Amino acid sequence: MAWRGAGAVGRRWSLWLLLATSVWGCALSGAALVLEARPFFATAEDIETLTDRLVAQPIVAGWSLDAERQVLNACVRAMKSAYGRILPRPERGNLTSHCLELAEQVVANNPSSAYAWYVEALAAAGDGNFTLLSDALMRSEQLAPNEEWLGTVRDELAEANLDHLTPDARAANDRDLAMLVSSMTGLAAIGARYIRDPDFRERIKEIVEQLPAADQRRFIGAVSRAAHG
Amino acid sequence: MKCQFLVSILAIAMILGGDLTAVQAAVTPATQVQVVTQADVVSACAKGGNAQGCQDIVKAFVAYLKVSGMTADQINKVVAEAVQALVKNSASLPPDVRAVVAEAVNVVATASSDTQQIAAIREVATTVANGSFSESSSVSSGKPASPG
Repeated sequence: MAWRGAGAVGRRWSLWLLLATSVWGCALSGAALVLEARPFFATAEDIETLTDRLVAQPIVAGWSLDAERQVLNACVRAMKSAYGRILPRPERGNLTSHCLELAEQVVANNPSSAYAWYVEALAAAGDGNFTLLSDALMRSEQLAPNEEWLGTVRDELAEANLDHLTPDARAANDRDLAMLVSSMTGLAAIGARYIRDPDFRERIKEIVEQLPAADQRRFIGAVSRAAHG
Repeated sequence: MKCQFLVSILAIAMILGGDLTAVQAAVTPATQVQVVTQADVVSACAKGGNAQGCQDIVKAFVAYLKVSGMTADQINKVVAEAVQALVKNSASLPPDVRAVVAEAVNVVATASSDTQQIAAIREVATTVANGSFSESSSVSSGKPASPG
């Protein structure tokens, strides 16, 4: 009888333990769901709401790579938007520092994320931290030297801050330009820039001279097409 | 001291039984500033209104901001919001309306006390005028640059 009583108490405890574990599991899942879902809702907002939200408080990266990419995209959208650029100094400062915090958080967890290093470079440029800008641009290029879309946005950023880049960061930008000239999508844009921007010509000429003859011919073709509209 | 002076004028006017309108004119600011909202500005400028009407409203808006009692930081934020509201849909406007909007944007910028903000607004105005304005620069395809 005593044995039976002890068994009943044990079963009751087991049930309570099971219940507590289930509740704990549900709470953790709920928290994870909220953390993962937040970036998706945040990035769906219009640019003013998104930017004001990023100005007001730091954004937290989710746990998955997809959620991480969504929040990085949100920062890029806000920082590159017209509204983000015309904000007054205190708000603009908050935006760049919150995005810098986010990018640092992502690269701390995932140091091989070349996109996160790019976002860090973008935020550093907005903050006027040119040492960090150079360092982050270089790291991004080293991690993803052949990603055309990333090379394109890195080049835009480098070009806008060329005078502030360290020699190593300029060398990384030269490698990006060489990669873009050798690519299908980047070539047309580089050809158009050659026509549009006289300051760029000497620089890209030196880079193209180092490339294989076939790439040089393709570059001349792209410039010719750009010149004839 | 000034207050005592005004009270004295009022008292004298009342004693003499004169017209109080004259007294009110003495104590009222020379220029009454009309309340102009951001919506008024957008309505007058970004919806195809005439250039002069737009300029008048924008100037009244700037004048109102200056006497609104807001701090410089608050005014600068309102300036950013007003410019954004003006340019938001400008890409779809005909060139003549874009020119009116660009001019309005430049006038709104004069209310700001932040030189960097003014420079950024002027850049935006230029892109609006030449038709190259876009709400936001293109964002990457979002593909992960590296698997890890």
